[in-house]
Amino acid sequence: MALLGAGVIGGLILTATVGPVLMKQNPFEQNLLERLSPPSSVHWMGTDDLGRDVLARVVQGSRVSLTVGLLAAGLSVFLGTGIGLFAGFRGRGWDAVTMRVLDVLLCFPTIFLILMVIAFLEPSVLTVMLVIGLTSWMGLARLVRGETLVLKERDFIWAARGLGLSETRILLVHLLPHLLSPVMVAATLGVGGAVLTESALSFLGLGVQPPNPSWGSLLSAGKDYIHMAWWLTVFPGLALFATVLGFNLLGEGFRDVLDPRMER
Amino acid sequence: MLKIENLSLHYKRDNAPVLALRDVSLSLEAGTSLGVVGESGSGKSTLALAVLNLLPENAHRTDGRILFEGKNVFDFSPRDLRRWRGGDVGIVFQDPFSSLNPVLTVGDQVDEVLAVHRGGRNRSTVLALFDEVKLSNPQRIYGAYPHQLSGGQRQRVVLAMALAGQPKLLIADEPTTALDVTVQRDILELLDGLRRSRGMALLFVTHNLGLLLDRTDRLAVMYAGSVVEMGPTVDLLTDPRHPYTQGLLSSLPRLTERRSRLSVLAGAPPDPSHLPGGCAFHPRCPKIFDPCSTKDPRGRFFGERSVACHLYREAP
Repeated sequence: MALLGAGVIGGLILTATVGPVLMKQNPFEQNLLERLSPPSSVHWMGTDDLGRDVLARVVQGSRVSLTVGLLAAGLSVFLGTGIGLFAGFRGRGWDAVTMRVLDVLLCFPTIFLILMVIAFLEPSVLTVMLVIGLTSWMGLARLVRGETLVLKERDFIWAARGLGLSETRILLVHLLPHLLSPVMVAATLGVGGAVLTESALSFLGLGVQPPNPSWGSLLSAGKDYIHMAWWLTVFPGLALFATVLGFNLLGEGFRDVLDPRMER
Repeated sequence: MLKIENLSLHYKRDNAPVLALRDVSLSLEAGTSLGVVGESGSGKSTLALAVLNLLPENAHRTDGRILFEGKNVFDFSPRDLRRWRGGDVGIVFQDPFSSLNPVLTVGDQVDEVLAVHRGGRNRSTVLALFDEVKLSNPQRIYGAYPHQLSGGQRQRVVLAMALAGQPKLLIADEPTTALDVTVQRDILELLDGLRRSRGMALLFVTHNLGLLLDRTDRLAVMYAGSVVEMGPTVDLLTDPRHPYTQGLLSSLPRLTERRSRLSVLAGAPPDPSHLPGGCAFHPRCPKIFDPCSTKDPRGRFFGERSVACHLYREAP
């Protein structure tokens, strides 16, 4: 299953990088004579209400989804790991304060937090990415903090202190590598989540702005024609579904391989 | 070179403080060795960590100081402390299975100590250290991960790490407890040889009195956080004065005597959060008399030796 996930993601990355170059159709070119035509040998996924090729737009949209997904998850992993390490390693007051702030942040529904931030910023690929990254690190921070609390009492960490190594060195060289597996699992699953959140935002019109296609905005635009042109919603929806499934499968595959406590 | 003066320390717990060290005074001269013996919970490992000022967060020092070459280690700045730990003082921990980082090669870990204390990594120095601790085939060991080595090999690596900073004092906290009996002896002989060849001082902490019989210059016996008897190893072994030391020695098996049963000390060590009043040893002491249950005896010196027991008011 994990291989299937990796395959899907591999295909997706390929599509996002070389796809738009290979496509004959231009995702932005309108052709009012061929409005809302069903899938055919020329337009494999049909055309939309302005006669644009849906396949070309879905392929173009994969760039947005993947960029936002990867960068947002990257930011979230960076923040979550850093803050979790800091809280767990410093302990005492630092830990207590950080964790209470985290508790408060976790009380807000994520979508509410995101809408709040978006309200103050211009919607764009960059803002969407920042916002998703900034609102999704809390779970990982908790996980990392918990692991750090256990790890820092391990004998080899005490031994490292006893040998006069600095805290920075202990953190980066001796502690961080042990967190690799939970962080990798969280990162992979996080990409899927971020892709989904980006689509939700774009669907609401708060994400990527037209005419730039994103899977969320394609779905949103398609919903008005859902009775007469099913291809406008089904294909972007399938792309979204496959992507998120791919990342989740891969993430769970990582967990099976990396976590010795899980039975294979 | 190392002087511990009236060190008292406890661990904070929810209800009662756990007394770990009570008024401990010890000294160690350069190039000599001191053995510290005691049961589990007697405070001997806490003592070893206290010398490095490497105590857990819930430990609180209530009194006393530790002087290393005249400087109080509790006054060191974090920076000085880092330079000192692993530099002038090396430590070997009890369990070589957990005191090495499992995700780095052992050569890399020793090299790291060189980077911190000797101004840079140096593979050939690491190999020389491996040679010094009698690891055969240093080249292969350098690139090995801890799980690929045996317990004895790992403890030699840990020892190499402790030696990497060229320490003047080596602290060994039960360095052989986790090892096979045959390997134990090799490590002990290695430690002894290294102390002589490098002219280091050695603080050797163990619960196994038998290990120290002829390997240290001086011996300190700890019970319930305080030193009950101290002196040159030979004197202590031939003429133990404190009833606890006498009990420990008579419970060692001997090859020259034929006895059907080993004598044992009755009872168990006291709970360090609820020490008995008076002398902490009195509930188990075979020679208990009047003052023992009310007054805690202080260590008294007789020449080179000291004893904390009401039996010895005048020189014996």
